[in-house]
Amino acid sequence: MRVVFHLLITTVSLLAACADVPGESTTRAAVLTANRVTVNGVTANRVTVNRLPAARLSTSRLSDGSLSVNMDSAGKLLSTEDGREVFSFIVSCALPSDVLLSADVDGTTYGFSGELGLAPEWLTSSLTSEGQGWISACIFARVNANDVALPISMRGANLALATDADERAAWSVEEGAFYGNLFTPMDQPILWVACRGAGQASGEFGGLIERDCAEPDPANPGFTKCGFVYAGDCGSFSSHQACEQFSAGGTFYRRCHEAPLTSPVKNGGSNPLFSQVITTYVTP
Amino acid sequence: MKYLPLVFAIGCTTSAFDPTEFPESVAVEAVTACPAGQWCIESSPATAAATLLHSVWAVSAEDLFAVGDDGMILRRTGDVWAQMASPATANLRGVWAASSSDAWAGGVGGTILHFDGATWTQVAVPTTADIDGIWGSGPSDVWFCGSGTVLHWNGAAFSTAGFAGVLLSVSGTGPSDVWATGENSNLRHWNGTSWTTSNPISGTGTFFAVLALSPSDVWVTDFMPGKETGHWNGVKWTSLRTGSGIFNGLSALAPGDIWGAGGSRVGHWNGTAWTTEQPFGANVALWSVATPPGHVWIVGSGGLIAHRSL
Repeated sequence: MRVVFHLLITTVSLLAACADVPGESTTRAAVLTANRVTVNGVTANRVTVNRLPAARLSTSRLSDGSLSVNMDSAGKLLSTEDGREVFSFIVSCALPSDVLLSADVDGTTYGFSGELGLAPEWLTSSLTSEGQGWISACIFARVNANDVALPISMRGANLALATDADERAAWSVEEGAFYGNLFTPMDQPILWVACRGAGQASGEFGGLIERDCAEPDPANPGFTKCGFVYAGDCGSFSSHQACEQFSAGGTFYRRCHEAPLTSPVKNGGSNPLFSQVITTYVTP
Repeated sequence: MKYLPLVFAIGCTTSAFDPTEFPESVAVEAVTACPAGQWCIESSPATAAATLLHSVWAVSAEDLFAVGDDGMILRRTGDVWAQMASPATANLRGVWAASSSDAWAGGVGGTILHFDGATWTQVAVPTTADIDGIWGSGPSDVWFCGSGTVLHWNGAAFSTAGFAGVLLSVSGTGPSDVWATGENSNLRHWNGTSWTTSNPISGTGTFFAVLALSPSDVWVTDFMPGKETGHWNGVKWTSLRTGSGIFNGLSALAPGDIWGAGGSRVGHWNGTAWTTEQPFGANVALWSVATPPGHVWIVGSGGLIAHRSL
């Protein structure tokens, strides 16, 4: 099998995004308005949960415009339909919308579009631990256990996830927050964690009806209905919150743990902390 | 007779819909006539009452198919929905029929089923991808789209084409004019020889549904506020606001009479503008719409089957 990547950066007009990133420097926000029109963090969620464990990539440079794809990871991933599905989500999460990666696999060309741009540096350098965290959170947030595609709004302390008033108004129901590490070694399990948001804690309605990954599974205590580690409720609406901070203006959580802050310590005395957290919202 | 009042109550109502209120005892009772211009909830067979129904297709006003989770296949003939024997247990996501004796269903894990008028059978296909959308111009020109792939049935055999992304919907006007789209997929067009890719709406590569009425009249749906639909007039794409409707499914009675369903909202294009409504309340998830002459049908989660006579 031959895998060839070409980096194409399309020419786009630079439109002001009117993006609002509460808690972040307005100067930085202005620099990164780029081609976004609105809804930086809105995407959909048809990732299939059981495909992720076998869909890991190395963190080495994704592409240098020629042949630098890691053949042991991306090459294998691209050889199957399922793998191309997952890779499309990885590219969608990592790269901005003005980037298109083309891959030739056994004579067939596939185009993978960037969308969110959470780790654009991956094009030119190895993926940092921060980038791994953002891509992991993004992929986990887009998992749907019910084989359906739904629009979600993803928010977090990353300029690529800036929101505007339209987005916050349309996607107003807080589902939960997602974080963890998709880039664990192949012989170790993926670490995927979710906490329950205020909307999900209040019931099952609107866009929550077919979103279950931040919902605790009564039949499997300690896990969500998607099999994620369940960290408890995300915020201060619960007495056992998993996250340390909530950005009210940006409507997202920061610094979330694997277990509630007031619960007994786990993993030999620690309660792992994750700084790359994506909070998801659905429509009412 | 003791169930009759329940049949009437569920057979036609415009009040908020609660799938948990389905009594199993009304499973296959005929419903009362649905007054023109009103939304009515029809009874799902008991086993489908809690099932996510994801796709509906109308062969005619008197013959409809619907599919959903756990291999569920329903058919409406004689004014009654009934469950059909299904050879699949996978979640089914798409259904399309050339006629009452030539129907296809597709779903998770490369599941493709064919109905010959008497029996549904599982068809061996060269893919394990999830199949989400099905459309054909005739019995020998049927397209299936799914995760990273498009399959074509020419009446004798399948061929495949690989794509990035998750293709959710396919539609066309003939063997040389087929559109497919989906999540991270942009918009793909088959001209009879090759596929080309375009992006009709700036800011996203994800589109949930595509509906082709003619080569110069094509619709797509997406989630971008203020431009939730896109229309191709043969020359250019135009974004059109729905008024908060994000549609998973589209169907048309005529170019100026198009219906959409998604989330908890139903939308209608009257040739000039979209209007949306929430006829079943907020606690529903609507997935697909079909429009045989004089009728609109919508299916959704919780075994929801809604009907409106025009």
